[in-house]
Amino acid sequence: MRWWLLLPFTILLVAVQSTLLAPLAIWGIRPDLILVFIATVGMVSGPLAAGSVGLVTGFCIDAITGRFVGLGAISKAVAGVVAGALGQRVFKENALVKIASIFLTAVVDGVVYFLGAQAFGFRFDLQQSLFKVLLPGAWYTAAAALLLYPLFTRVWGLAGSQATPGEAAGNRGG
Amino acid sequence: MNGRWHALAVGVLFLVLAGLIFLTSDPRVEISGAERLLRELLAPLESGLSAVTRSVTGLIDSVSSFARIQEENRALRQEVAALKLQVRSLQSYADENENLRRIAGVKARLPEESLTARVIARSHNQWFGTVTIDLGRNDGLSTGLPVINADGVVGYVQNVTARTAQVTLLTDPRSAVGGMIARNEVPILVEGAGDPLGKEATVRALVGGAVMQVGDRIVTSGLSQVFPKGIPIGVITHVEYDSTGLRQHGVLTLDVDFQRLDWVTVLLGPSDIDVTEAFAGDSASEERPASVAGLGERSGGSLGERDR
Repeated sequence: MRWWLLLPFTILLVAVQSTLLAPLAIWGIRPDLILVFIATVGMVSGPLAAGSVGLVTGFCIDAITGRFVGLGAISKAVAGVVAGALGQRVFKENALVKIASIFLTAVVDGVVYFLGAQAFGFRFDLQQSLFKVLLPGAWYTAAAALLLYPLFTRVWGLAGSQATPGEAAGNRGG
Repeated sequence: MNGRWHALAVGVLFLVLAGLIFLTSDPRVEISGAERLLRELLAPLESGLSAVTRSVTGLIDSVSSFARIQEENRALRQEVAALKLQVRSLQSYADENENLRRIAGVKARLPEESLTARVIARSHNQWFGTVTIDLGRNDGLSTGLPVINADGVVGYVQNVTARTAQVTLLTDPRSAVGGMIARNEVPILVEGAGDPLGKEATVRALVGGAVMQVGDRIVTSGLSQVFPKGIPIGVITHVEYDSTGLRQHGVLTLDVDFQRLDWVTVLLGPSDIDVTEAFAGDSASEERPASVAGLGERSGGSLGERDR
């Protein structure tokens, strides 16, 4: 894995998300490209790789955001671990299963971030956060994953990553 | 042992991150060098992508606006067309209303029985001036009855069916009506000239030494046994002498607008009456000289229709 590629790629994703995806917002919600990437890594290479990628990319986003630096790193890392664990346990060739896994990953990311921010004194409105941000965002991210998963798989492959044994078997079988 | 080191590393990392989160949980004025570097790296990229986004969304907006404007334009054009039709229709109703008002006014003043009919068809060719009306034998119509409207003489009933009647117009080359000059009651003959526009007829003096002048108003003479006396026909617009130099003939501009003939009145009663007063309040009659009022003082000649 060429880890040094992760930084510019993360910056590129953040830039795309904050610019190109802005017009695609539905009720102010945009898909989380970086989370799709982390989930893709988790599905392809397992929890350790996805957790690491989540930690690095999350930290980059935190540094760019400038607030609660580290919280995004933790939430993304946890989401990556969950995605990797799901990737090892579910039949991810099925599109619906894949979408559901990524949805769950996005929910975990949101919940961890929400709870972390609450723990550090930031007060979110629970109902609004849940029904207007977290769940719609998770669905949108899962839907975007349908299109982006193949692209990110290729990017992850180009970065020199190795698929998990199960993924490799799946690729051969497919 | 390796697992313990991993757990320790994760724990330390978590603590470090927790510390960072705590330190950055409030909005900060100063940011670190690393954050500044990241943002500096990100800025040109975001700027370029924003420009692309603006261009793309601008293009999409333009395309969608163009489609919307086109749609609006088409809708407005359709609306304008529909409104034009409505205006035309309303104008038509207004004209018809005005026409009926005037007919009703004249009809009320007529001393004899009459029926109002609607023109339902016009000549099938342009050589003859005829119209078909929606009343016929069942309504009491018969051949030869005079047909007028609020402006004056229209023609006479040529033939009838049970429900319709064909009216030969004054403009038809086969028509001739006995008239007189309103100012002096000198008898003249008005003949259809076959004018396709239905605006003119010819006039001929019937007695030697009769003098017609341009502007003379011509009304029916009442001696034809067809038209009662005093119904407007038209105004002389051109006069000249024949080859003998004894008799005049000329051109008459008809009072009735034969191009817009929608409603007519068929007179059923006797023709030996004077209906001058019935047309006295009519707009066309208002142009008549005062001498018309004294029409009955002297009797003028009237020849009646040529083809009768």
